Amino acid sequence: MSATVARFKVQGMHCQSCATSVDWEIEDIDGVADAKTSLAAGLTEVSFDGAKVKPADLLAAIQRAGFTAEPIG
Amino acid sequence: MLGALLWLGRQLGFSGEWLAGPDAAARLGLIFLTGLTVGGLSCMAVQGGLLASTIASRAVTAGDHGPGVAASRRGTVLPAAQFLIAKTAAYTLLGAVLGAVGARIPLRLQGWLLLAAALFMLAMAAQTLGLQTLVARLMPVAPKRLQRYIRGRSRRGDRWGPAALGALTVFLPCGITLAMEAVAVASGDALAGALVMLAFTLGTAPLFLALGLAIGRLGQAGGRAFRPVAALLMAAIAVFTLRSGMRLLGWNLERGPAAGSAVVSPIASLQPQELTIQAEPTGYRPARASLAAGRPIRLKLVASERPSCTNAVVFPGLQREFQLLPGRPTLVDLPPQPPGKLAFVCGMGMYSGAIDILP
Repeated sequence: MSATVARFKVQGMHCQSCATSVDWEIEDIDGVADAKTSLAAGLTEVSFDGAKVKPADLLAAIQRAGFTAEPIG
Repeated sequence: MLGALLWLGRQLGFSGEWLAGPDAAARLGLIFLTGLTVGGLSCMAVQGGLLASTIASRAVTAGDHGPGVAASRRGTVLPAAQFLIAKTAAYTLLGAVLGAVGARIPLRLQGWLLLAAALFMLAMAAQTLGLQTLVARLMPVAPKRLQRYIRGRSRRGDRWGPAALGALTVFLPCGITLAMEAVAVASGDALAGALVMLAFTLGTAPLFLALGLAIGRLGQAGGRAFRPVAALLMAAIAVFTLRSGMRLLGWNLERGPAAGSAVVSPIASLQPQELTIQAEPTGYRPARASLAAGRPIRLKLVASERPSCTNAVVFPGLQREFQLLPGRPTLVDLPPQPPGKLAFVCGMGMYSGAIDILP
């Protein structure tokens, strides 16, 4: 797969559980290889297959986890 | 239920102030409420997802063998109960370990430990309200590999999967759980630590059971509404803890008139003046007394018959501490003291007293 990396600024997380729930929600998407969310930085970095997944899918996943996000970089 | 917890702890010979003190029920009540409100919601963020996932997997597995089981209440309540029992047991055990670790910390460092725990809780309260604090950088994170194992386990649908998952959630603590773990360490007693975590985990149980019964999942959005409540509860526990730490370090001890009930015997100028202080389960008698400056002092410290943190007496100003033994008074000879106040405090910083040294 062609690895694409996207980063998002995530708002509303208050503990490590929140960060983990964001990772898990994103990693449920078929085509996502890895998601790493930093509570301290309020950032999520996602590696995914650009042919299968669109950034909008990732944003929707973060929202499903209960947080707001916006793409950066 | 809190009464039952207190009774249980006392029957088991609990020695810390968490159960011996008059405000023990209030403290455990605060912890239970913290669990009941945002503790449960916060834990739900990850743990609720795991539980929902394992229930769904079991439903699919049951569906493979025939209809009916998955749809039944038994099909959802049993896994939820299994999950909760294992989770409660694991956290209670963890609390005991944390309390035992706290008990091994030297008495002088316990004051600093209490202050650190209080500051951590205040930072967590701020974090809960959405303020970024340094504590976010200190949060432990379970290794990704372990996270994936736990998540994978939740999807297998095996018979004991919910119980295994419940126990494994100790590796996925939410921030509020971490704050409670700090309280467990600061309690300085294995049984107290166990009860702290038990009260908290029981508080979180109703929401998890509700999830098991498919009543609904409030999720993060619902959780946000409760965050100010959680922050307030955590701040209240932090204040309790902060006061204990300050007392133990000899800061900001209560001021007030001398009780005048001290047995002072100024015999001769070179003879030591004597004072008997009786440790009781919930304080010292007298808690306030006065002696003369410039004369040697002999303190007779008498232990409480019931196990209590008052049997450890710390004189922060003298940097000395004494462990009192029941049935054998501890005699402490002190050189003549300058005018001022000689404060003393129990081993957990909960109960204090002072001797006014008069010119």
